[in-house]
Amino acid sequence: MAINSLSDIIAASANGHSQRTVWNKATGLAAYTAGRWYDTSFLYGSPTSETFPGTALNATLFTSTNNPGWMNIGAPVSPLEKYLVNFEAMSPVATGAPSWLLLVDMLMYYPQVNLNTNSQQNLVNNVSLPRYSDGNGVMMYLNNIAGTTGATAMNLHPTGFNYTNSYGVDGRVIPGTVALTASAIVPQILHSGVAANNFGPFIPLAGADQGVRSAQSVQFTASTGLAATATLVLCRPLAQIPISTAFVPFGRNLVFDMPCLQRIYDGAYLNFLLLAGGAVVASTPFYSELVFKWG
Amino acid sequence: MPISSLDQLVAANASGQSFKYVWCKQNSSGSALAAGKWSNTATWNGNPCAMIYPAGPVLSANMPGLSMVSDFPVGAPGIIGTIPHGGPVAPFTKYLTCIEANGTVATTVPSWLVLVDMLVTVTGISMISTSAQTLNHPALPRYTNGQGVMMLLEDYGAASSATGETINTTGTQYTNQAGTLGQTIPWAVQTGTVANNPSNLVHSGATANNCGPFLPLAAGDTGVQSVQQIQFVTGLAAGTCCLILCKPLAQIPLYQTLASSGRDYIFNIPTMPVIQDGACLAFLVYSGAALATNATLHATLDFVWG
Repeated sequence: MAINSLSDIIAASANGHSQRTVWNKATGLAAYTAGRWYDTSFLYGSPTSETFPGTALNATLFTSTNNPGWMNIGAPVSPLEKYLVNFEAMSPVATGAPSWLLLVDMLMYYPQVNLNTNSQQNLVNNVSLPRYSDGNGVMMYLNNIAGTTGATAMNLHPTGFNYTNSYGVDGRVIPGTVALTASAIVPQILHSGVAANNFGPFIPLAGADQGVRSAQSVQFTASTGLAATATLVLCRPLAQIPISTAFVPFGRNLVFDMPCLQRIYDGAYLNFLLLAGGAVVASTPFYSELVFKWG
Repeated sequence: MPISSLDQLVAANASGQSFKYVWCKQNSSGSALAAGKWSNTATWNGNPCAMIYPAGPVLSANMPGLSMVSDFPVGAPGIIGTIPHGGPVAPFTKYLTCIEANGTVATTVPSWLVLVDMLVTVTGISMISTSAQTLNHPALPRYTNGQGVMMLLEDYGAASSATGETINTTGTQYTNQAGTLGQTIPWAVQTGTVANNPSNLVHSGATANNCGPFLPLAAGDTGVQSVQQIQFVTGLAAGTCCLILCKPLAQIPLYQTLASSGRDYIFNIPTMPVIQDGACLAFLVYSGAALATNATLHATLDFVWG
């Protein structure tokens, strides 16, 4: 059972196999910086703020019951299959545009990574990816979820940050310098920005790696000097949408406009990553409406 | 089993025969890149990682070069740092369906990104020497008849000096798409009017007799199967470049900082480029402004197969 044609999409709509979700988040109490990426799951709104619960450094799955920030994508539809067919986005504040929203399927995370140490932090993998299980196309990012980082320059450690790629090869290391932004606020993606060796939203992978199955350790070249905590998130990018002008909703039709219809698995945890195009002022709202269909 | 209808496109996407990649590159060449110059982002740091071309014997009379095939899986012979596109899919056929792109600082716009499939590279070509430098590279791994395949010279190594260098029109010889040997470029393309920085395409620019991103072909030629020799007229004080044979696949303009541009290659610009198994994808960028050091570009690329 799947959507296999344009006729199937029309039939799904006609049969009421459709879910419309309105997403709304507001940025926090501090302004954002242009050129940096931010994890909106942590922000208040609808859905509510994500807390990334779990045992420190232990792989934890994102689920609708464990994670308060789960976006309502509707009930499970198996044996039918659900797809994102279109979505819109806007921000009513001038500094909210231009910006870029990247929709990701959040799969697994390692909570409470300590940013205030340069020791290697070994990760525990008692669970594995719940979807895209071979890791093909799955990427990683580190977000700041507690405390502003210090002014110390720090990088991901060139050999102490290890992951297993989608071919199952472990011990993979980052391919060059990846710098974390100093004085990064919550919920910035720490390695993004406009300074030398900032890359976002995802941590660069080695060689020709096409994805990540799991991570084994995290290490930084220095400690940040302040109490701050990050989460290492594994996710798969699904779709993106630009917000070019404040108060003007932008739309993406994933059948005819940008034809990359995306399967949304039952239980998937969807989230937007935000690339700030300007100094987004505090408490700036962002809205999106997502339409899912199944057949 | 190519995709030949909208229904098949919908079905392929719906069944997960697709791959999305989020590309991020930073101008890590060490210098701002001049407006009007073309550059190859493949060697910049980011996601994917910087591509390292195989070393060639500098000033060799017979440079072997390398056939460029992306690295599937890790450990197999191939090139690292190419844009992932989902791995081999034969007997299916893979297509590029969409690109969306933006630049994060003002100097990244306006600019123009051209996606190419890099086929063959020959490193170690001296821009100091005025002797004919003989190449002996392997056959094209894809687009084997050379139709639509173009050639470029990329500054690879230290920055080159500027002394008004030109390419010798008769000393630079290639074999065209019809297999005709000894074809020459039709006019004296300037390479050293201004100094080139690493990743610059040395013959591109905004001054007289610059040409980019590709070297011009002889009248009537529509592609290149191979290059037999390269020769410069004057010789620079410093400079090393590499030859790349590549096939242009798609393009996207960037107009405004962080306001993403989108290209849909099914309905908007209906070219639906085929991505061959093993393709070594990279973006060439045409800078409309002096592209600052560490300026960052993003793009998403969507592929589907069926």
